[in-house]
Amino acid sequence: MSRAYQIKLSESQDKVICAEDHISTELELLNILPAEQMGALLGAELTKEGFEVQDGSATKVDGDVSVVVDLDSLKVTVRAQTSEEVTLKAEKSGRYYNDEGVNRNKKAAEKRLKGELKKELVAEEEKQTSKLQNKTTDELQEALCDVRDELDKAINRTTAEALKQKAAQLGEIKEITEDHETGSLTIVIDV
Amino acid sequence: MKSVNRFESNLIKILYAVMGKISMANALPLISRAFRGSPPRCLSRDAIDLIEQAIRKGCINKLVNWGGWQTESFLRNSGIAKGRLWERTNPEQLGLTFSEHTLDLLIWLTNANPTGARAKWKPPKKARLKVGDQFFFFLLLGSIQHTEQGQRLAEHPSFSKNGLIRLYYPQLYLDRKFPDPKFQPWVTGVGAAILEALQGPLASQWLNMERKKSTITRLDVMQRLGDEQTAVLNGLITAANNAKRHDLFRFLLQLLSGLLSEGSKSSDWTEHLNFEGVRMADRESSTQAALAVLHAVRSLSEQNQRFATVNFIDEDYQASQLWKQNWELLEGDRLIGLCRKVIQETTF
Repeated sequence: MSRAYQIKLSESQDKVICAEDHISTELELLNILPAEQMGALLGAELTKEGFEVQDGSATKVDGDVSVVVDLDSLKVTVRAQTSEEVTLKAEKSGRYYNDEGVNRNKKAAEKRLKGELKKELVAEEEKQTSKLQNKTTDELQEALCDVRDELDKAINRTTAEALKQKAAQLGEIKEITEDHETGSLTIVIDV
Repeated sequence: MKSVNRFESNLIKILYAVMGKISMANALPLISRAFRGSPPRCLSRDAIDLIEQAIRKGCINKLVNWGGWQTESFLRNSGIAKGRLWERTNPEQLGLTFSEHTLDLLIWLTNANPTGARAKWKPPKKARLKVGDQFFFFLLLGSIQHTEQGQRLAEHPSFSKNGLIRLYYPQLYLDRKFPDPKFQPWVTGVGAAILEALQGPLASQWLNMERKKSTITRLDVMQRLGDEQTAVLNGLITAANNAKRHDLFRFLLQLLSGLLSEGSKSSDWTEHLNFEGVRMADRESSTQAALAVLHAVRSLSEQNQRFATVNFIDEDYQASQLWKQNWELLEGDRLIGLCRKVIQETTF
């Protein structure tokens, strides 16, 4: 006479999952002064926006999002990096048969269940990672608006400052009129 | 009256189809199956005469029809030569040289099935292909590119390293990373003359390729196409500039002229790309790949600025004059402005 037995396997794993996303672009800065000077001016303006300038690049970290501006190539990289501790759980059950005191397929059933359990844990990890990835991408997308504003402001101020310095090289500055609302700048020089 | 045996007749039919003398539909069955019977140990004099004649007339016919007949200006020894292809260069200097490998490939194509499990054309390891051989390979691939046989042949190093093939058919090289194509044979001598005649067809070919990008849905396909286009265009521009033959990538301006208008926007390239649930980094990467041609041609603007400063006492004055002439004729500044506008749209 054979009897059916049920076996149940469960496993739980604590894991740290990570997600990253980034986007890059190149800033467009008019060549009013030599590239090195324009880079230095941009660095100074970015400092006012909370960036730290070091080794030719300006960096700002805000939570999970970091912004890096290479002051030579004017390449901007905005990066979001997140990580989360998760507990992955999986449970599987199956059957084996005892035929007159002999376990006919217990080992095979256990092996199969372990394999299924492993697959489920991997699938669960992928699911959690994908969820975190989407969250990270959304976070990056949200941050881009603010970053764009900050960079636009810094570029406008850099251009204005470069124009003033260029004007000073050309002659004696008589009058400077700046309209912060429209962004217009009028410089009167005496050559 | 020439007389040939069955094998030679099949070979000549394949050759006629490559040269466009008969339809490829008539020759494809001969290519796609192995020759029934044993091939002759050597070809007869009559067959060789017919093969020579077909190659001689076929190559000239192709070059003339593509654009060789047009009166155009191209650089010759740092001067400008105007006229039809055979007026710009002495016909004696336009002669194509072929090695035994062209005939060897034709014999193999007639004898074996290129899609057969063990079928692989094996030229000698140190085979040095002449420009004529490489041009013939280009014509052959062009005539069977849509067939399985063509796709198998395209992967052969004798084809995949051929700069002209990679330039004309980048879409055949997306499955894996292939070695960088060699453009050197196509920017000097008779190879450059072939590239001159191909300026119009190249512009049309790339225009079609760019227009079809809007139908691509898979990011990885777009990425590979963009990478291949970038490698090919950068390779050509670098080789042509090194040989002081910037007139050989004039087709890029013709391409832009047909491609861009005031209303052009980046979605014209990326319209059907599936961005759902995709990282921004991957979105950006495939969008930039979609615009690979626009990125590659931006360097032409810097080249234009360089030529603008060349004086009449400078060595490359004539070259700069020809450049400026083409640039103005095709409205280079406007086109590069439109390129920048489309690229700018994709930045955050």
